[in-house]
Amino acid sequence: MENIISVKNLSKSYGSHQVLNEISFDFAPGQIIGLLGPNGSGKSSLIKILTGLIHDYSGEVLIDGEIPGPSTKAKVAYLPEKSYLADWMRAIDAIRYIADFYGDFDMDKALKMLDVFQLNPKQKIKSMSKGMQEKLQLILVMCRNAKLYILDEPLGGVDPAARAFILDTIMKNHPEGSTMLISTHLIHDVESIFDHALMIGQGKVLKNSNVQEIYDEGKTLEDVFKEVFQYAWQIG
Amino acid sequence: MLGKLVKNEIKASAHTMSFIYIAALVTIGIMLLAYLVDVMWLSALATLALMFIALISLVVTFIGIIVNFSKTLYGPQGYLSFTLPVSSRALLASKAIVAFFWMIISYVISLALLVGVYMYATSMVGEDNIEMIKMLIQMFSSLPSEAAIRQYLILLAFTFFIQIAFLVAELFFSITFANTRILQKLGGFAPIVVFFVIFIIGQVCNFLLTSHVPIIVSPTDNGLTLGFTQSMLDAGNFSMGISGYLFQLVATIGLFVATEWLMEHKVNIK
Repeated sequence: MENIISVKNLSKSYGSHQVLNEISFDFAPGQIIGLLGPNGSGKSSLIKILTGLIHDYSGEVLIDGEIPGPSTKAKVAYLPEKSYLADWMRAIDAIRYIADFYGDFDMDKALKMLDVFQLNPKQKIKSMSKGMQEKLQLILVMCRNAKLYILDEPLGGVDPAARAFILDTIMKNHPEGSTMLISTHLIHDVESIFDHALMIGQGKVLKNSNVQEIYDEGKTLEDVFKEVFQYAWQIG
Repeated sequence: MLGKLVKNEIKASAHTMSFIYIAALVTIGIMLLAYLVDVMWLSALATLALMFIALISLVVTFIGIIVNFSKTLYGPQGYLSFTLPVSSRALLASKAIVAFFWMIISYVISLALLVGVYMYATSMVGEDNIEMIKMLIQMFSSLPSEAAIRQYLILLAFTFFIQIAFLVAELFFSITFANTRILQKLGGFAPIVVFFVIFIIGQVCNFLLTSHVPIIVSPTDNGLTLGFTQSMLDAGNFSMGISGYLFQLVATIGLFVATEWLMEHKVNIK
């Protein structure tokens, strides 16, 4: 089976600052992967490359066997860290917009989820709280039947009480066989859902391992994260 | 996909643009009402307001196009635009088509309002508008043939469209270039600086080509003919130098290609 994500010798720098340095990894489809690292470790740059937002990198990146472009964008459902919807839109306009461009978008499911999340379809984005906007963006992403879901810090701006609800929404709504790449620094809240962990820092892959193997060693993901990044900062 | 992009682009930009046209409609309504009930001061006030709207509509359109292009591509909304399953070319084309559409609408409305206000004002002081229209028609009837008149008007419209397309291309290139990593450090000044540099280069090239490369279109009995005479006087009345417009056409294509390349390879979304 073809890897859903394949990265070989990927490097990316901003001027003299190198954020990714010759990193390589492959992921088979059907897993939930945690992309872990502290702020500034290159997670967002890696995600931007995988989603086709950044093109000026060196190395090879393939999504389902293709270089990131319009075709891979149709297969990837991406939740950025930022709020990206236009102020003038109402919730229903945002749903129609996504439905217009992505053939895999489930409109009925989105309308039901609006109801579950207690969001008014006619409410304008600009009058929504940050939390409401995040819920709406989550609906837009999770109502697609995508091959690959890339979620950049989905729990970043959410209070601890809402985190379980959001994780539950993510877990219940991704299609079987799809792959999820979730970037986070809140490992404690999410480690139970990951099949695989990719830790990056200082532009390098510092750990790429199956979560079960970590548990078999009698450790938690959080323990490993602390070990890895303590070491990473020491060598820096 | 281009059709969907254009549809959504019109929806998005209509929120910025439509209020100026609504303001124009309301003012026309007030003006007509004032005329019907014969309230002179209200009619005068509405006439002034219409003139103001006619002028401001172009500025509003210009600013609206800039803001919409910047926000939807290089602001947070860029995360949505650039992850749509469409090419950068389609994304750029949809924005250019819609910007062009709004510019044309604004110019036409602006011109119509100014002509309307002028005719209203002159009729108020007792001048005959019909005579003025007759004079205009007479001016065009001095062209050698009906085919020449028709083709000349098409050429005029075409040159007008080229100038608008060139302006849109200059704007889009400037904003995109300013959002590459190398110029982002300059902040909000970058697009302004890039625009004025390109604008000045464009004007200089246009002037030099128009004055030194004599490609002239002249009306004849058989319609318009192309000539390469050295002097506009030799070419006769209604002759038009088109080398500047040809330059603008080529430059427009070049700027759009460069913008697409920058979007594809160099743009850095914040």
